[in-house]
Amino acid sequence: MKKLLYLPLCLWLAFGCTGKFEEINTDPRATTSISPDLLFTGALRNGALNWDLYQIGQNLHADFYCQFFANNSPGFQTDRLETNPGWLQSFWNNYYSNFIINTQETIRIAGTDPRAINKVALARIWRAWLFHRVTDYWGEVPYSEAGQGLQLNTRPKYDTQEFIYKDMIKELREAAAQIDPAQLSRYGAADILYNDNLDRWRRFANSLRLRLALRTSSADPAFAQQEVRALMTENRFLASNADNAQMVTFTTGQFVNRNPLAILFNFNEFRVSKAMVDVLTDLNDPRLPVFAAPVPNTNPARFAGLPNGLNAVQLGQANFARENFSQPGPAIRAEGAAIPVLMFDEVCFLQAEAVLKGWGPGDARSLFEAGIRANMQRRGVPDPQITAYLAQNAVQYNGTLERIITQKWVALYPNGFEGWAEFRRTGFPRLQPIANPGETNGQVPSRVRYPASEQGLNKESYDAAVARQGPDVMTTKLWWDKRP
Amino acid sequence: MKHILLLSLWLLGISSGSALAQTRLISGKVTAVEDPNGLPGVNIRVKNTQTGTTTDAEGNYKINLTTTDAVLVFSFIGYETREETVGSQSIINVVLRVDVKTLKEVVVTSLGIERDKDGLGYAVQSVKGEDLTLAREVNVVNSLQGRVPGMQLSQSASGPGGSTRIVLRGANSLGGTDNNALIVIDGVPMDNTNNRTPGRFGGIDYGTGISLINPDDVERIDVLTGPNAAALYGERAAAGVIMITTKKGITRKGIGIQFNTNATFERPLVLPDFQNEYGQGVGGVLPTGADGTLTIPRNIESSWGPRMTGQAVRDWTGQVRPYEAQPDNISDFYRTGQTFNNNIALNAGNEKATVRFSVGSMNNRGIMPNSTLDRLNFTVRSTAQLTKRLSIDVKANYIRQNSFNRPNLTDNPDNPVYGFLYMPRSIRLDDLRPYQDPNGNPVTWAATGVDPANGFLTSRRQNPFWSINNNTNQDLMNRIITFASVKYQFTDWLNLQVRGGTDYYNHRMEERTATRTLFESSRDRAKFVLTNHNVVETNLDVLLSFNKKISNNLTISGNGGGNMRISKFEEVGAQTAGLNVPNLFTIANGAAPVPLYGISERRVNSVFASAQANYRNYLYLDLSARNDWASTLSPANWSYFYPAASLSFVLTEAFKWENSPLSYGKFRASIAQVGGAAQPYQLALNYGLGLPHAGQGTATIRTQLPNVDLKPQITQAIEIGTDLRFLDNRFGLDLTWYKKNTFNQIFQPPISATSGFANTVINAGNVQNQGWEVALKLTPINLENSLRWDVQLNYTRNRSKIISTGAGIDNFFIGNDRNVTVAASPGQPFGDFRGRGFQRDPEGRTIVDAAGLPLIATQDVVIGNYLPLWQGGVNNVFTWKGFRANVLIDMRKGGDLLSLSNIFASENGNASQTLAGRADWYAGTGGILVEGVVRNADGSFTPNTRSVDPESYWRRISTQNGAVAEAFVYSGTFVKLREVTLGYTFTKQQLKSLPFNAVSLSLVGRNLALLVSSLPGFDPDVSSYNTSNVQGIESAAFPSTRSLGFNLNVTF
Repeated sequence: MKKLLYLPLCLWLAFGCTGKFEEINTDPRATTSISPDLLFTGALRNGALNWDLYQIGQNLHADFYCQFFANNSPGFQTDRLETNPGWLQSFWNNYYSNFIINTQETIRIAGTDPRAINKVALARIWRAWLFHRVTDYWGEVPYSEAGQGLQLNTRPKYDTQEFIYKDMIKELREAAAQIDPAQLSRYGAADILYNDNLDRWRRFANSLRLRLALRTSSADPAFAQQEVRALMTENRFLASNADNAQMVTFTTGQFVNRNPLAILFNFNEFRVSKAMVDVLTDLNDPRLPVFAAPVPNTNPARFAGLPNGLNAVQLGQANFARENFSQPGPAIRAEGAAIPVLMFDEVCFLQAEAVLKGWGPGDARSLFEAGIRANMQRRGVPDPQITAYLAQNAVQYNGTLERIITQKWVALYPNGFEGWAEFRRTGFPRLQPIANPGETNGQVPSRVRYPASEQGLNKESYDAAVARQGPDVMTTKLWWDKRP
Repeated sequence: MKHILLLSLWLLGISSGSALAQTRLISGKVTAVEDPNGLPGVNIRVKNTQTGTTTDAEGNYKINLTTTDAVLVFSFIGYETREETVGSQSIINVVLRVDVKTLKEVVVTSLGIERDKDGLGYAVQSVKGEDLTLAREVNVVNSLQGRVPGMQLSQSASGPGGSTRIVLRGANSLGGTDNNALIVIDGVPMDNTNNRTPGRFGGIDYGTGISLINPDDVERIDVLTGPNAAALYGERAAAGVIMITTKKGITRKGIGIQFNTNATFERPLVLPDFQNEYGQGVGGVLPTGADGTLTIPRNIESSWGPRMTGQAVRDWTGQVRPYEAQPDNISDFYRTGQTFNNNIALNAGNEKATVRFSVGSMNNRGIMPNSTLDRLNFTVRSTAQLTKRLSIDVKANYIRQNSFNRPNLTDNPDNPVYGFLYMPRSIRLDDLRPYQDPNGNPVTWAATGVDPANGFLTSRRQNPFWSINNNTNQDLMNRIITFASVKYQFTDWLNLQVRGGTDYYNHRMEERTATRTLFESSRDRAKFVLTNHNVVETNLDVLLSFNKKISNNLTISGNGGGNMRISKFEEVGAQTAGLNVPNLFTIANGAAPVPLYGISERRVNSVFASAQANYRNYLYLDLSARNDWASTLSPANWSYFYPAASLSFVLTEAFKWENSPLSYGKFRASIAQVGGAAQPYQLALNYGLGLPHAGQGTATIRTQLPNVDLKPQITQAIEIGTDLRFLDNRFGLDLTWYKKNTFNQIFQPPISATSGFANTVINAGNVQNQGWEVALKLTPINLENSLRWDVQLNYTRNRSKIISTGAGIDNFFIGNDRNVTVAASPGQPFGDFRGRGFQRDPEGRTIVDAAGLPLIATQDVVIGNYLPLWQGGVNNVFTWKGFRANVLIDMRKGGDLLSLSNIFASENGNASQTLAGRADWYAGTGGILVEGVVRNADGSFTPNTRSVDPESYWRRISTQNGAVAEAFVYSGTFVKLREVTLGYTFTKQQLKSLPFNAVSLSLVGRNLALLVSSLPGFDPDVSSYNTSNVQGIESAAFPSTRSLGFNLNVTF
């Protein structure tokens, strides 16, 4: 009978038991080792912004600040220059703990295979593209120590924007040089940006480097000139609309597979801005019906842009009613329309500016016109209309930066990141007054505020950055923002 | 029906199976002094022999005797034992008297072991099954509201099939769990997780396991409020345990049939508090249309128009009609709900075997039109003494619940309540009843145009009738809860029990969004989601128990054994954005289907032992210990041990005072520890697969930084208490003080996303709960054979304090919603609200701008906390002759609520509070004068004298995402008339000619009135939208209901 007292122990031994525990605690949905191809494809698609982050990150900030669109949802405050901490938090979090970490993981894992040199190079280019958008929003941000959680660095320091810009440019230079078509370990079809076309990646890297170098032109003219000259001499940029860096989307599929603006259009929360409709109208621009939809029930069709910065009371008034203003046009909101990453037309305007500055060979006028032509062509404008448009006095190249940037602003539509950054750098185009003062006394913001989490979770680094850069407000200017 | 007949025959077979002996037959009836109807289950033993029997359901017994000098011993728990010498009698009727001195209560403790309450060193609260079956709740746990000290029930505002948060003695865990109590049925844990929790942007509450329990099957519910009571249940018991004991068959003659029917009718208890003076419009005026008629622009989503005086206006329908308030446009949307419960139970049994079979149905027609909830419960329970030493106990419970159209919650445009918050006061509900136009587009008051690309209507406000008729959901739950246990009695003091129990279910959910639905973003604006959950919770136990009298003074009992727990959740399903054929809801018809898959699996093996020493029935010492091996931790940490001890001293048993006013007295004390493991899959670095793009697969690294060194979290609790009864039990006090700390918490604090990860998982922090539980019982009136009045008062006071949240975390994010974050901060109670307040001067006065509008602070501050200060309940039971009346009132003091509905309804000028100042403003004689100060150029402050337009004021402080949350935090204090019943039980004499043993008929009412509340338009008691740690946020809450009806119980 006494043996029975050992029974619990015996039974437990019979239950077995911890033999299969580690297997049970292994998530069957996930994997502990991964192909860098899967990570890179995800980083490309997600980094180009899916619908929700496109909305709260880009559409509700940069697209309003550069006056491509204007808000008509009374509950949304960003267009009237007030901060929505939650949206910025979410955008910041996704940038670092999704796009950037997965790109860095791609580099880390691919880097373990010496033959995968092209995989590393492409991911480095993509990382620079991702980071320039972050620093253009906030200024100083974690860069050199970012994404080192696995090394148990959970409080990375912030780097100065000067350091970040110069390092990104160095990265692009090195990565472009690293590309080696002879190496056969490549992404292949997993490269959903260029489908394994390494030449186009080199051109994209150089074009992006030109964008970044010109951005530093007021802050460090000597550095900018040196970089721009090298690039203009090499002259290996995107060379036609076929080279455009753009993320393909689909007419069917999940939200993440579709054109974000097609989805946002259904939310019915913004309209084309008064600034954009006025510029297009004033210059008899054939892109007007492409960029904007007519006001409903108008015959003949009439286009009207909504002023930026209206508050909730104003938006409730009949004269600002939704139905009186233009929705985005068919080319913009079309299902399956690609998301611009960096387009040939922009490169033409960048080169025109380089020539204007005397930093490279070429003819500024023809580069300027090539930019307009390339944009109109990809927007489906027939050639005779393009020629007629270019013939107008108010359009023709006149040797001023304002002319170049104003046309670039139109061509960039709806890429608000670049529209806002270039406005801050150059002061062009001349935007419309904003209806309410917000946090900037009615001025176009110079940056956005850091997410609240950083003050708690990374306080020392945050404080150091604010001490160097200036108060964490929307009017503090970034390093490259030194327009005369 | 045929099956029931067959079953009845089988039952009858059992009851006639008893052996006949060649001896004298003695029979009789045992009754109690206060109840002439007969006492079931009384033990009758022939003195000094093993022969015995028990009385049947009516108190009758029969026993065969071989000798004439026998003495029969009649004993029954709580009654004085009586001995009767048989002599020549053949019929012996006995009347038992309540034994007030030794009135022993039996309670059910861990592993379903029944124990004498005297020996328990910790608090256990019990509720009898009959308290759950008169005035019913669809979810049986809601019936415990106000009856159990130490328990906080928060019923979700999600309709009849919704879930309820059950927290015992405060929330322990910052992040690892949702802090809900463990549910155990007949000693076997059930899965009570909410697998599809609604969130701030919508969702549907599909309920949890406990809501499926048939109240007619419940014998009793014992609530073990502390972890002390449940150290033998393992990690989940740290949050306390609800033990449900279901009914068994009883030894009786023939077959017992019990039939119960219950019908109730429901109406919303509280509806939004809206004004009825100003209609659709802005700025207090309406524009004049081309034809000279006042015209309401179609896109105006607010009631900031002019005063409604019946003036002729052209409204959204195009008709010119009087501009009039529609005060009933919300209440008219709801219909009278109906709930029917029917249950039939058969039971039979003899000395060898018992069986009970029960079939119950619940059919609910919700107050929201086009919604139903139907449930069927089948239960068979059988016990059998197979041999002298071997017995078995088996149960099978099958549940089928079919629910159609559970309400959409929170911000979902298909939540009708959300729509009403934006619907102007002049909109006629009847105009919306034809919800679809001939093109298949929705009809709605808030249209902004037609999309030229596809002809779809564009609008931001759904027609509620479109939502409930076209965007439907349906779910089917098939569930089996079963156990089998075998017990072998080695000797009269030693037995071995082996038990296996499983709770298995499949839950199939379909959510349909019809083609052309507003706000949906697929190309045809349709969506379909189909999900199946397969969940299994299996427990295997081995339990060796002994109970040995060592001497006349000392009895030692104890048990030891092992447990293996297997929990697995699997989700399989698919969803599609868009349908190829309009409104054909199959995945195969999906324009873009994607599979859904989820899994979570864990195993815990345990050994445990406990021992109890009982010294002369007045001093009891309990010791217990458990060691777990958990699959969710690494080999170095997966084994952990935790002990418990308790002491009970029965004063009245020790001193046996004669004629003392103290009829019973007991002191108890206990200390316990419970270990807890992590959630699955947190140790290793994982990459998850994402949706493909351009035919290429994608993957992303998991956003949680893994931690291979996770250790178990520990809950430590102490409690002391007393149970005192005076004046022959007319007055009783049960008092408990407890303190509980959970440290080494496993939780997932956020880290700077710049590390590449959103959060990590660590062991840190310490959360403390301490408080009082008081149950007061008194019988103010007790007249012999006449009026009796019993009162039970419950009081619960829990103080929560976050001692620490770990290094560097000064406020741990629990969750958020529009305008508010719920957080845990060191030094504060669990569940702080953080949000925006007004800008204030050094004296605390609101600062207003030059226009007279208040300025909003730029930093979030603590604006409230959702935990109540205390809760209480008062239950009165009156009995007089055959009548019985019951009145239960319960209350909560404190516990803040943030009402998002009131924010939205204020922004739109619908809320009653937006009336103030309007007439003056439009007349140019005033407006809202904000009580505050203006900041002067020199930095000084002067009182504000400038009145503002109420519209500007409310739009300033109540924008959807930028509201001054401080202004919309309300006290959660309430007093509710929870339950009233009035019933009459017909006596056997009255039923002489009828084939019934007993008939009782009752009028019943639940949630009859909210006697005190300061939350406008919503029920503070039923306001949250899920059972997570994010509580106290009311967001377009589905109304709670008042129910009235009757209950009829017939025993054959």
